[in-house]
Amino acid sequence: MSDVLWLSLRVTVLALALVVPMGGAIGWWLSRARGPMRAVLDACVLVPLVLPPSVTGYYLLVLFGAEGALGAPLKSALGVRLVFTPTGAALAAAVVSLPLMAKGAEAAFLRVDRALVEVARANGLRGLTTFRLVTLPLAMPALAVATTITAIRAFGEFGATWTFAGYAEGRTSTAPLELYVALQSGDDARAGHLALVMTGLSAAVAVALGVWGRRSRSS
Amino acid sequence: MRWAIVIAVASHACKSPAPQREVHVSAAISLKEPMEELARSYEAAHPGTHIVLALGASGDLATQIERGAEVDLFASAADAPAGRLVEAGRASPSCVLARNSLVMIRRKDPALALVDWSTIATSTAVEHVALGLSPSVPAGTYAESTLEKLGVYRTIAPKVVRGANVRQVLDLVAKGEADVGFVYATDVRGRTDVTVVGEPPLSARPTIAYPLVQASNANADAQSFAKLLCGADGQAVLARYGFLPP
Amino acid sequence: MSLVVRGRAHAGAHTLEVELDVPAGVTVITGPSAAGKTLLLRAIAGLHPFAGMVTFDGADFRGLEPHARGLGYAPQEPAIWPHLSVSAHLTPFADAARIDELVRALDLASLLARRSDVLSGGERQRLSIARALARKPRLLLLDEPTGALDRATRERVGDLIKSDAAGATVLLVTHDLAEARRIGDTFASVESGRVTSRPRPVE
Repeated sequence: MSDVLWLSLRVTVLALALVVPMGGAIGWWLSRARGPMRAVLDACVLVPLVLPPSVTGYYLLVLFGAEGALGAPLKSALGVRLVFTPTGAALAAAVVSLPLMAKGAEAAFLRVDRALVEVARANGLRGLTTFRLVTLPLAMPALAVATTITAIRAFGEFGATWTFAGYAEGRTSTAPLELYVALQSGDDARAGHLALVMTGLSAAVAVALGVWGRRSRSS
Repeated sequence: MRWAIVIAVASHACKSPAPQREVHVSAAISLKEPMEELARSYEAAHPGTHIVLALGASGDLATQIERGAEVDLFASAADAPAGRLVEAGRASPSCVLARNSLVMIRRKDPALALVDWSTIATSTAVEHVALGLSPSVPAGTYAESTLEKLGVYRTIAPKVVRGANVRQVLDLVAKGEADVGFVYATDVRGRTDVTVVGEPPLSARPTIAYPLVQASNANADAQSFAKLLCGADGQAVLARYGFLPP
Repeated sequence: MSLVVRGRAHAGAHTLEVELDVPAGVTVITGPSAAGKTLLLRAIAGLHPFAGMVTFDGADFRGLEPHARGLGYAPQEPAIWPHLSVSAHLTPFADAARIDELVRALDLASLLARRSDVLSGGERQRLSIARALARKPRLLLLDEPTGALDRATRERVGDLIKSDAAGATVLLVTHDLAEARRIGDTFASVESGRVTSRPRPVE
């Protein structure tokens, strides 16, 4: 049980390492851009949210499988395989949770008062300095909430992981996959135990988010 | 008023001219092709009877039945899943449908380094070994016990990846996600993208039998379809797909 | 002429026509509220789209990002960064000696370590002025920078701006005619969407 949770945690952290910078950058861009390119990227980012996760997993397999457009060169050039590896599971979790991070980050950046950014720019601070000094710190609380929600989604990812990363004990067997396998093989006690642990973890995070949200509103 | 008409039309459309009789059959996915053919020929000979086939890993199918799925006949790729149902009083044995053999397979690719039963544990060309997810997938259980008898399972355990049923194991090897896999000899018939390395050494060869069980409340149609499966006609079809006689 | 602005800016349904020549020194811009004074400053700063030309000492502002225009800017709302201390508002722009000079002149020295989100309205305005002056910019855009200050402080801060920005070009938006007379060198007004008059010396 603890090794399953440990693996889930590792996969989640790896997924966050992918999705937080990427989703953050996309959200930043979405918060500033106008026009048709923005509408296109906005729609693209939402695709993993509206697609059934198994379909997302299928596309990942087509792209990153051993015979995939990117997977084949990856395997032959670097010897890197994604299917049946924790990295593959993390990739699936990252792609599925990307919309939450990108849209969460977009909202976080949009909530930063533009006047506070403009005064920095007009007094001579470059874009990057302004971002580091003003935009990022002011967006940080909302970015932290977006990251937490993204983490919970990544932790609970099942469909795309099952379809793309497959099931390999100790490498892709995250808690949601283990629950499904336990249920399929008739090990109801283990399935129940896993369900309880995951419910507890998710509920704890939900409560923590609520408490934190109330505190930051009242301060 | 208009709604009433729509509802009347809709409820009329739902009524079929004659109530169709259904036989629910759950079968190991390795039996897919012969089962589909036998179901079609039975339906052709018995108009109004529909064979509803559920194909999958035998263990998964047994679990579904234990959880209340209404199934008349169950053809398992191993004794254990069928035995569970018989012991619980849910089903009784009909016959043994067929036998099969376990084979090691690889992707058909001349560039691949040679691997066989004696080198599987040591070959650097083997990164992923595809097995059915045991205990749900009997092919996985057979492969595990065979590899254990050969004394190599512990060595390759870190390389083991799982297919949700035996056909997925085949697919994993065919697509190159796994370097070797273990499936039934019948699964690879007619496949040009995988090659059979061979059966395990005699000392470690598993006995693979397909028991057919029928539910305690199976109706006359189910019993009649079971008779076809166990009889000479059924056996002929199974033989044609490469299954060994029971 | 130091600053030359020709063209128009749109904000919603309003259009501001600008034909403005500003010499070095303090130019006071007056006009009724919502006439477009803030819009004018924002257009010059590059914070609002402007169709036309803006040159400063012969340098063309077109295509220049706001940060590259060499400005000091104090917006109407002081726009104090709530997560930063008072001193952190100034360190990106000036060295310790310059900061020391400014905080003494603007009475902020005792507040340097304080969180800026607890400052009073007057303290916020003085900090905003200090931030705009910190780099000793050659073009200063000050949008009602002393509105929240009492009369005595306002005079003192006005004098400071005048002396600290000596030699620079200052556009100062204000409603306070006394302040305008006290520190203004020239005078322009925005009325019914037009800044047409050339600045004339304050009487």
